[in-house]
Amino acid sequence: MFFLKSFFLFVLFLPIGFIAVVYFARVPAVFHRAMERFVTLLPFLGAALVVRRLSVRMLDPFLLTGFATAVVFGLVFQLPVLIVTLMTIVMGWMGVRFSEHRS
Amino acid sequence: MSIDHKAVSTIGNLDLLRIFWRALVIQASWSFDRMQSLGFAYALRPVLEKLYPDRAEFESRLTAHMEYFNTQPYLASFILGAVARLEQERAAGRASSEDISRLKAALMAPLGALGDSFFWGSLMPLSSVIAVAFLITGAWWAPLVFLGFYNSWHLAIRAGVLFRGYQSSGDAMDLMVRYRFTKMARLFKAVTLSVLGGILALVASQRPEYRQAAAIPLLGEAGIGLAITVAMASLLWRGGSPIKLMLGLALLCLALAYAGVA
Repeated sequence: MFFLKSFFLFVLFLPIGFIAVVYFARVPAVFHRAMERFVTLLPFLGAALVVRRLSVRMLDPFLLTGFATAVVFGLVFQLPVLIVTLMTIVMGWMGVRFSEHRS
Repeated sequence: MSIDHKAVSTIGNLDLLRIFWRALVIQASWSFDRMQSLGFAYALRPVLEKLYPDRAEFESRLTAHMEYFNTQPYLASFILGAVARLEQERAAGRASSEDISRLKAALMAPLGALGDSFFWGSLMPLSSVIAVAFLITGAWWAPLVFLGFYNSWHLAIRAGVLFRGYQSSGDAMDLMVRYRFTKMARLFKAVTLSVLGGILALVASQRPEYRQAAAIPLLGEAGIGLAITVAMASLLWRGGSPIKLMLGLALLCLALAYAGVA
């Protein structure tokens, strides 16, 4: 019964999805632009969920450290992303060592 | 318990490697009533076959391992190693079936909590953000970074704890001292957040679709990304549900598009 329920939902939702795609193609261009922007912003919600899950603070010091590191070395000094990512990893690690040393 | 075997086989490295290989599919036959029991029995089977040449006894031990079992699938290897050791002891008459059941029951829940927190709560997010950091540059190999980073840790720990479990006979303290999962989890979480902060700063410079307007400098764009993330995180902190936030974001985008702002 458990699997049958999933099967019927699948059978029901698959054609609904195909019909929705056809109707979605017909909506005005402004709607498509809005959805394009929505999809662009969605990863920020993902990032917020990661912050919410991993941190006990809203403005997490490690998040801000990584951000500042990438701004300085990635945007100001224009270093490659690979180097900047490695630097953010090192900064995070040093931050943990520093906080452990302080406590 | 006194079971007299004339010559009790000992478990070697090759036998443990066989358990390691079979334990990779421990969840392949997961069931609602006994969870990972079938996978556990399947992983242990070669060792049981070696320890119990008598077919009836082998079948009885294999059936005994069909009892309820559920833990974090990677750290299950530690219990498998410990149980393999105890089965060897049992075959030699130095341990009982109850000892084995008790050990499994005692280790299942703590290792489940520890493993979930380490693997799902810290190693998985860290592997993901490192891969995303490369993905924003358009690197096709970014998913391979995820697979390589995650699996190198996962397989190394899985193999390591299996051998540790066998050598220490399931001494959980020995596992905690050697692996320091809690400390590693804290480190991984901090590094994840740091790399995530870096991604938020770099995304506008790497992906043209994230540029709000050509007039805004990249530093400002980076600040907007961080501000959006912090604003959403603050809504989540205040009890907002991710689904409602997603729908709200869609409605906001629609409103802005129809108002001609975006």
